[in-house]
Amino acid sequence: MSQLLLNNHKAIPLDKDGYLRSLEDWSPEVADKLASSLSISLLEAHWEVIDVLRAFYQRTGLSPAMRPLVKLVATELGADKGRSIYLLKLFPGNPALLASKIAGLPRPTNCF
Amino acid sequence: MSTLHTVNKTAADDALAACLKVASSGDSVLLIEDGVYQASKLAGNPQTRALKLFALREDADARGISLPATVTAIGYAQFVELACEHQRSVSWF
Amino acid sequence: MSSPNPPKTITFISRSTPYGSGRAKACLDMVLSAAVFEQRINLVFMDDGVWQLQAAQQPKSIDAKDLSAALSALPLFEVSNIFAESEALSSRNLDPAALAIDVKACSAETIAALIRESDVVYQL
Repeated sequence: MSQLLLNNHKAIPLDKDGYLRSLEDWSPEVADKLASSLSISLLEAHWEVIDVLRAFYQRTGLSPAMRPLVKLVATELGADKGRSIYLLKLFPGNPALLASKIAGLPRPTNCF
Repeated sequence: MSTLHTVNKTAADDALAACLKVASSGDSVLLIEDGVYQASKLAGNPQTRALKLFALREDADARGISLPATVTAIGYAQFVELACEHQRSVSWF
Repeated sequence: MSSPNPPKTITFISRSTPYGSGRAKACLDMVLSAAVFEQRINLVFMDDGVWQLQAAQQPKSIDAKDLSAALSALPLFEVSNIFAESEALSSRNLDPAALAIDVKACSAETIAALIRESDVVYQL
């Protein structure tokens, strides 16, 4: 089992895909560490997407795949940010997988 | 354009009732597993007039259930044929 | 995430209570998965399935996830054809106007027609 080591030497357990085992382990520091392990440094633009994801998960218990993520961000942060290209710039490769991982959510259902 | 409905529950479950509520004329209802216990009930139900009724012979025999004349006994091969003849199947379980 | 094959019309008939078994949750998971694959989806609540639509569910008290809260996210997943059997609602004293999410109340005949228009039907 892999883990994430924090500055205070606390080890956070991760699953085989690098997602938090326990969602309660999440903190902004955990997000920073997860992001840097994915070669992403978190800026304000990342944080607002992470906040939207965490609020959505608290409300619905769901991790959105790509299409619902785009729609969710459009609703919450405006149409200029609710676009695949914008999210791909922030979370290169697979925004739905990377953003939910950094936000401490479970892996989105059926997202490849 | 018809549908094959399979039902595998006794009358303690409302699966058959639900199936009959939304079955369309020309559809087939096939009783399998514990569904065969409802064979005589199914045959006497006025809702089934426009439906074709079947029961899986192996499941009926295993349970000692004899089938009424309006319910056709079929084997596994005919089960497969029925599934192919209908456009879709709905499993009420 | 476009699918290589033309989309199918898939009707999900959800007939189980939200917390009495895993069936309601399994049905919702199937709906969400099908939605990711951009299929045409109908979701129908029949019989005891309409209890999933009861307002003010607080399943934290039994350590369960709020299924109706997840249902409220369906429009985000482009699932908008959501039906509930009128007879099932009225026999359980559920007011169609006071449910956890917006649904189209419909007759058994409408459900029969939805089945006839579907390529695939799942019932659980």
